[in-house]
Amino acid sequence: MPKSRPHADTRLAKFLEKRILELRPRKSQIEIATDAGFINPNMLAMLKNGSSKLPLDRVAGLAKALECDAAFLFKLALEQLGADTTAQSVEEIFGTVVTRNEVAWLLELRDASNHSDPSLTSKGRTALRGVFGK
Amino acid sequence: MSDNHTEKAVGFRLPSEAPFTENERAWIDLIRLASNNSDPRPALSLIQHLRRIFDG
Repeated sequence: MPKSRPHADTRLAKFLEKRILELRPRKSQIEIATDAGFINPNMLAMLKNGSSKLPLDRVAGLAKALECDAAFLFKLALEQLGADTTAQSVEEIFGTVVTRNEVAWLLELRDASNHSDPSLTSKGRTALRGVFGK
Repeated sequence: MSDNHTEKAVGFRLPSEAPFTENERAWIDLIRLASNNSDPRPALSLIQHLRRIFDG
């Protein structure tokens, strides 16, 4: 990884590339950057190519511009902090960040199990892996 | 929710719902692992698989 792009291999940089492509038919990269509130539209390009990491205070604006789950983007931004203690502090204080999709999974799990709070047995583990083809 | 699983996962919360339990946290951890952290939407076909786990 080139030194000028220290975050190129992060999940956030890869997600941005994919999401910007998905939005391209109706929204340009410059429009996304403007919607996100970036004064310099190049900021989005720098996040996408991994030369910059996403500051946590820009997560909400960028998630709105990308029309994605802010909690999911927040998780990816936390990952970019690496060994930084911020990620650890967030985890300690607020617990694991869950996305909207994960909330939906849990609601389905509660419904499917008749609210029995099922433990994850080895049978359930195997079956769930099968759901994702693993 | 069963009485023997009263321990809650701190910080794991649903808006307007009960906090997540340790068991539920384990399910979410496995969903993350099995989906390569892709944050999958619970599509109908996936939910049908999930329901089969409890029906069988």
